[in-house]
Amino acid sequence: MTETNVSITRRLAAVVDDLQSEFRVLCDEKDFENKLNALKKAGTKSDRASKLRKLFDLFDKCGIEYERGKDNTYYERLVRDSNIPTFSDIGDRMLLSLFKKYDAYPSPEEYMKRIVDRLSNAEDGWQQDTLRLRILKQFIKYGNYLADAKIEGKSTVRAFAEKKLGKKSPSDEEVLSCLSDDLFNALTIEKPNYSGLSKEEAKKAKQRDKERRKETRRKTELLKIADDLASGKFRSEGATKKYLYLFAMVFDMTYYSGNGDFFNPLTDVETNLFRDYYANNLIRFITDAYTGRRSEFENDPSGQGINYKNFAEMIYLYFISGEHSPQDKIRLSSEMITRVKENQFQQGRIDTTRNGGTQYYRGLFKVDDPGKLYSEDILSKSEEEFERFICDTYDCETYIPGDGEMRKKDTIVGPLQVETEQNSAYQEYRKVLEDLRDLGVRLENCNYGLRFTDVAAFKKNGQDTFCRRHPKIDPNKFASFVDLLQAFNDFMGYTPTEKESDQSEAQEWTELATFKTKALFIESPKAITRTSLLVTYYYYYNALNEDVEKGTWMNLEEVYNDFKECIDPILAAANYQPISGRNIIDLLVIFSSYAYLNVG
Amino acid sequence: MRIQAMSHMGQYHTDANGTNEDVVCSGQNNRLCVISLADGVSTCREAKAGADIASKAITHLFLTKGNLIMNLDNGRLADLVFSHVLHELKKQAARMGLAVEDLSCTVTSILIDKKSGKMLCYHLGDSMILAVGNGKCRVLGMPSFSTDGCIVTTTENGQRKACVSWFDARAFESVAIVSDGAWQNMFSKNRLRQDVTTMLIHGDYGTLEEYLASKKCADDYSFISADTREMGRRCA
Repeated sequence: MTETNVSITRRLAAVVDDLQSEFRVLCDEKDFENKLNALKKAGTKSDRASKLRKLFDLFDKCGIEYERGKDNTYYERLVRDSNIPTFSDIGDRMLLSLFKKYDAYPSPEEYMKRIVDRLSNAEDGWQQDTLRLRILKQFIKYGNYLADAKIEGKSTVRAFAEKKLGKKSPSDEEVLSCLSDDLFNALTIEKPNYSGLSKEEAKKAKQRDKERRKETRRKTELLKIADDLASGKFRSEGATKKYLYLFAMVFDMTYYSGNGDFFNPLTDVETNLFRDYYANNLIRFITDAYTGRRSEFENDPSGQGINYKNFAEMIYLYFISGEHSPQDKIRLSSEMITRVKENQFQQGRIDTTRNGGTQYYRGLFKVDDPGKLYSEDILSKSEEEFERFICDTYDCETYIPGDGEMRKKDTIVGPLQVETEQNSAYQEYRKVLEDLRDLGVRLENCNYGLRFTDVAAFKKNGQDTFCRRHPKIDPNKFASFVDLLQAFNDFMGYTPTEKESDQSEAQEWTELATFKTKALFIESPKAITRTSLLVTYYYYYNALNEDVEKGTWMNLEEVYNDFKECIDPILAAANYQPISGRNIIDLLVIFSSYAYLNVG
Repeated sequence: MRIQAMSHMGQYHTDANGTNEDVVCSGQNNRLCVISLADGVSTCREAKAGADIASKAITHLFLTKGNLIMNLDNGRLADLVFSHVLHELKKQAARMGLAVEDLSCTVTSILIDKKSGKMLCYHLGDSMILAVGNGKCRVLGMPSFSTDGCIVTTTENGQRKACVSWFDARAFESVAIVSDGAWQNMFSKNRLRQDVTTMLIHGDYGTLEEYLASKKCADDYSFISADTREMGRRCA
């Protein structure tokens, strides 16, 4: 995506507005033909008047000037001369407009760069470094290489510096001054070549390489964190969340609790990292890192943001809010998490649902109504009191016994993996599924995905045909946009691989395709995500409104507002962010609903 | 209702032989009490004059039309207040032969109905509204932070950015408006300093004033507070 001079916030705000004005009405030649045919067939004077009114409404909505009191020939000529788009034209227009708007959306890198630019100390003079190098240097200077958080990589960085400087034991200042982006070459693991080896030799070589790769990954963890954060890669098992909290500490970010503090949108950890960057940033579908490497990364961030039921995250927030230096914050938070984990090991679990679930735990840290003065300021507790409070109130059990059935072995989970069930969100999700079933819709038929473009056609023909029709667009940029559409379409439904069929068209169309969309078959509160809930609701919304007479949903603005009004209470009950034009996935989903309801 | 205020020139203006461009204003009658604070934009030629007009205009509007204003919805209220202040600024600008932008300032005001306890906060810019009660402090009106610049009385469509909020004043012991030059020295990062919290809880504004003076604030620093515990008593 291209850099522009316009701030990210303004660019995003303009996206939805521009789309709305462009698609204030959606109608094609056929709509006008239908109106004109109805007019020709109109019998009585009153019948003609009502048909004319409908035609005039269409002219008004399309911004076509006309005169009243004319004969049918006049109106037919007017339609002919008004360059009404065909259905195919409209599809192209929608795709083209979305593509232009997509280009305005910031990438994960841009989001992160904005944060780093804003929070860095200008006097460090690292502005010309690559983003990942800047983050790494911040970790080194202000976070002591993240060593206190048991992150390895210091030796790798110092070895690089020693080689470059030609001296042993350089100071941290010397290390910082000589680091360059080629340090990150250490992350590249060469593809092994076992040709020419016997089966036994190859087996031994593979084992050796496996150990070596494991060792390399361990020794370069610090580099990996900087690289991941700079490029928007989200790792599984809560790893990315830990990195974000460490990032927040070294960049001295703030947390707003509502208890004697103020909200600073420029430094707030929840808004900047756990909403904009982590929860909403799904553009990483199109980044190289994700091509063919889905198992290593989350399929999509849960959208939960900060997990207020998780004891480790609360400890991080406590220290982020405190007065210590970044390095001390890292050290003290890591030590407290370790102590709590060890002290509470195999002590049994606290039933957080019975306590009140996420709403209750969120309320312990956040005051939603500043007018209410009776809540305790947890963040003002001493460290000793706070640690006791955590042990008494939170489920800190990392030991999960095997149950002999699904989970045969005893397991120990990481601190950030405790209490990750999203019970409220799962409950809302189940309600939407019930609503779908009540409409007589089979979940197996909810698989048509995006509706404003034929993703299958693009997959088959590539984007060549489209680019030929629109020679001004950059084919490479459009290709990455199509990648996003295809990836998201796979998530929302499925992209069929077209092949020759020996059935007739009538036979082909007798039954709806049945292919399970993963988002509609989530079976655990641990697996629910905001995107899954959104997609499920999308199918419900379309089914609920598809019988409404065409012409009711005539502009994008109305669909956007209605969709948002309907789903926002559900998202809030699920503890997710409301619909936002800043989220490209939200926009794609609603735009697709708009196309579904208007075009079919 | 007891009102206390202080306003001092910051080091920046002192060194430049300038003037204090913060203006505090208040007024009350049997039913209503108003406190206001306006902070002139330093780069504007007549920032002080603008702040003076804005604080008086909003105070007068709330005091004379407060009963009516209390019944408006937030959107209409913001439009009314913003346009009224802007109108007064334009009048003065015309008299002085200047562009209205030369009188730009932030403006924040609190209107309290002493009988019902209903409290309206109108907030435009980077000042802050604080409430104290029950041994705690709360930020009721957040300062605006924007990489695009502070919203002021002459910002185009600024009424859309004005914050209008409602509270029950009886839930608090006092409320205050604090200029950015002051609150920046009252907070550590985004949390109120413990010593400052103690001063506010005890209403010890004298000590707060000394504390801020000791900080040698770069910017003009001001606050104005209203003691809401005394609601319902006759004014002396």
